Amino acid sequence: MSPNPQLDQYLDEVRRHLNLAPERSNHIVRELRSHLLERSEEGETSGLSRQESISRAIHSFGRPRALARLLYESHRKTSLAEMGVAALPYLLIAILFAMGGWSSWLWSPLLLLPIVMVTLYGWWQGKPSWLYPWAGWSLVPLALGAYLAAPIFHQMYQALAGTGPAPDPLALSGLLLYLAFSSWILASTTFRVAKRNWTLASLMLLPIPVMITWLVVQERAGGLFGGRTDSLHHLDGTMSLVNVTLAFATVGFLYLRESKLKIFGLMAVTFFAVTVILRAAQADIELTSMAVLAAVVSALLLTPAIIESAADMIETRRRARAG
Amino acid sequence: MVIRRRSGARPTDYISDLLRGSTDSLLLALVGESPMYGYSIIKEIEKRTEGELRFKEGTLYPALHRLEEEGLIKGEWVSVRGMERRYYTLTERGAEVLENRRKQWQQFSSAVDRIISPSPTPDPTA
Repeated sequence: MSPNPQLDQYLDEVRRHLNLAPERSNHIVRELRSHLLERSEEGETSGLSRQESISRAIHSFGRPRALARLLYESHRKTSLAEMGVAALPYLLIAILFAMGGWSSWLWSPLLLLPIVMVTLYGWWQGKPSWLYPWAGWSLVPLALGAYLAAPIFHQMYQALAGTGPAPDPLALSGLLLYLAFSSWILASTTFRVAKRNWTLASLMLLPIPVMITWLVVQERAGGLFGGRTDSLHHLDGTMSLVNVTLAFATVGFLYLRESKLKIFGLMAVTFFAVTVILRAAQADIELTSMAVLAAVVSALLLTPAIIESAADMIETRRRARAG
Repeated sequence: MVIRRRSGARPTDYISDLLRGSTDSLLLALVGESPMYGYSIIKEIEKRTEGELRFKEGTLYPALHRLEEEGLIKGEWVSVRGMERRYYTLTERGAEVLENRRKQWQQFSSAVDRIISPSPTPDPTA
């Protein structure tokens, strides 16, 4: 039977949303194609046109995204080894904090570079489930870029207020370019992952609220570049413990099948981690602040769900327009 | 899975619920009789239930793949008259699970039947 664009388009869409290793996706699509062709042949035998019989066969399979999601759930049984690989970046970061090596200009890049490389490798390999914690840690430096550039912003503010010299234009334009680039990478990566599976996008974003809390606490204690030496590492033990907890949470996430349980677990562990960091920093947290914190954490981790439903709505409208 | 009512009425939630819990057992039973592929499973169910029950492809393939992941069935590609088909057969473990489910189903259905089915009203004068 000759190729059919509608059939190919449908199967390509299923493949795109499967979120499984390429070999496994190929095997699934091959089986679906065989079924669709046999069913459409039957339609033709009963007197339908080729196009009509293919359309009916495709219709009986349902929406490609929904089918892909169910198939993904069937195959999603993550092996123990994959769970271990997924938890590894958290354990490496826990070791970095335990050694106090995060402030070293050698250790942090030395750890971040392989994390980024593993992320790129996993992305290229068809985004297996172990990839997302690695991707999350690759995004952390981008998410924290604005903080690292804060002195230049401060200088710009002083210049505008007429109380200080203007920042170097080259440094300022470099900073703005970096921020635009990092925001774009952060947003597009989250969008792409959320379109496939929003719970995995939430898993990917997990380190970001934790690291933002750590930075806020550090800032309140005098900042990372404030020349402190005594209190700079006072949270290292806590951060190490928090990252070990997040490693276990990642394993739990991959073990569970139910999306609601997964997201509830992620929100609970993030809230726990943020509270532990604030407590360790002896920050005075009121009940209202806790409620705001819980809302912010929930909003961040649920953003992928909103992105996914928006993408779904756009796709449905597009299909309706296409007839 | 869809239940087709001859009267044309919409499927009832109750029967849908009952069937949802029986999907795996139905698939194991069919594959246990002879090697089958996705399309043939759908046709066979339609034929045996005279169109009362029909598996939707969106339900069938995730269920088949889950059973395969659990090691209860095994798929193998076979080429038939130039058409590629993935035939499923029951594994040893699948056969044990099916046997167990059959017994449980018989016990359950007979117990429910004893309560739900109308029994002859005892004659108070007897």
